Amino acid sequence: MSVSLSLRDRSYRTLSFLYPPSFRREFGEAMVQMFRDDMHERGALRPWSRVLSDLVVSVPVQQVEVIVSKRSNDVHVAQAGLATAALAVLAVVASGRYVVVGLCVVAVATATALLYSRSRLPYREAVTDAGARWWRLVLLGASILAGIAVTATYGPDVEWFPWHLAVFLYLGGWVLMIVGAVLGVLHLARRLRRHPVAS
Amino acid sequence: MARGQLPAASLHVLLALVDGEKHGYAVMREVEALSDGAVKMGPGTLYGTIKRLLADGLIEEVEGPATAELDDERRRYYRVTAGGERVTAIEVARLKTLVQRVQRLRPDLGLGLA
Repeated sequence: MSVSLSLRDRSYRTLSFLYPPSFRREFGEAMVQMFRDDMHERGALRPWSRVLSDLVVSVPVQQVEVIVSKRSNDVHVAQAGLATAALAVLAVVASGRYVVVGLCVVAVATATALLYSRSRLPYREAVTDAGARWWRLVLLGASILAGIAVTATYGPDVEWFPWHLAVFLYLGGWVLMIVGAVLGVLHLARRLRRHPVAS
Repeated sequence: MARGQLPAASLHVLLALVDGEKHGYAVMREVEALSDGAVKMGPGTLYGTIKRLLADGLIEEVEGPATAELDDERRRYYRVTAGGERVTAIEVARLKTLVQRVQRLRPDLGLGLA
């Protein structure tokens, strides 16, 4: 292998770090080999042009796909549900804007940590039927709504109320529950189609 | 198993594999040849499509040929499964019907099938 080819390999390998870790682990070497084959047959310009335009399109697709389709274990989902419900309670109880801002930062950090931990799952484990996880969305939405309901009923009467955050969480809770319910119906319909109940 | 209409990229990859197992680069070249250069896939798009086809059980990974070169150790070979062949046949038939209907509506477009 020539030095220049090796340098090109390394350059492409570095760029491939833009893909999700699970995708890179599964297909990274094969993609580098494909790039090498292309270089070998068509010179430098066309493969680089193809690869750069491909990165612009395929990296966001793979990143979004991983976030949407990752399988999280029950503990992660329960943690996310409890953390969000606790945040809802604290946000409503909180009497200062700084506290709300701080809670938002904690929420973003929690979500980031969860997404990162999910991205460490191997690809084979990550590819599962998303519809089978419908009940987790319903549970998460219900936790959020329950947290808001408890706070509204038993929380202290404060002067400054974080309406924006409360409304956002309220709507978010309903959206999660509705999406979960729709996915659940579709999932059950699919299961019935695959394994019809014997009459 | 995939349901409904296949994405264009998936159909092209399946069509590129119907005549036997191939590695990624060979699939890419075959897709270009099949589409007269209209469909060009980079590594990310191709392996993203392959990932979905594997997950749907339409293709499967196989061992490379015994005469593989040193570089072939990094290559991944794929072939169409029986389910993949069925889905490909259904999709091709659907496209054929579509073209025939358009041809009946607008014979002047010159979409006659051989």
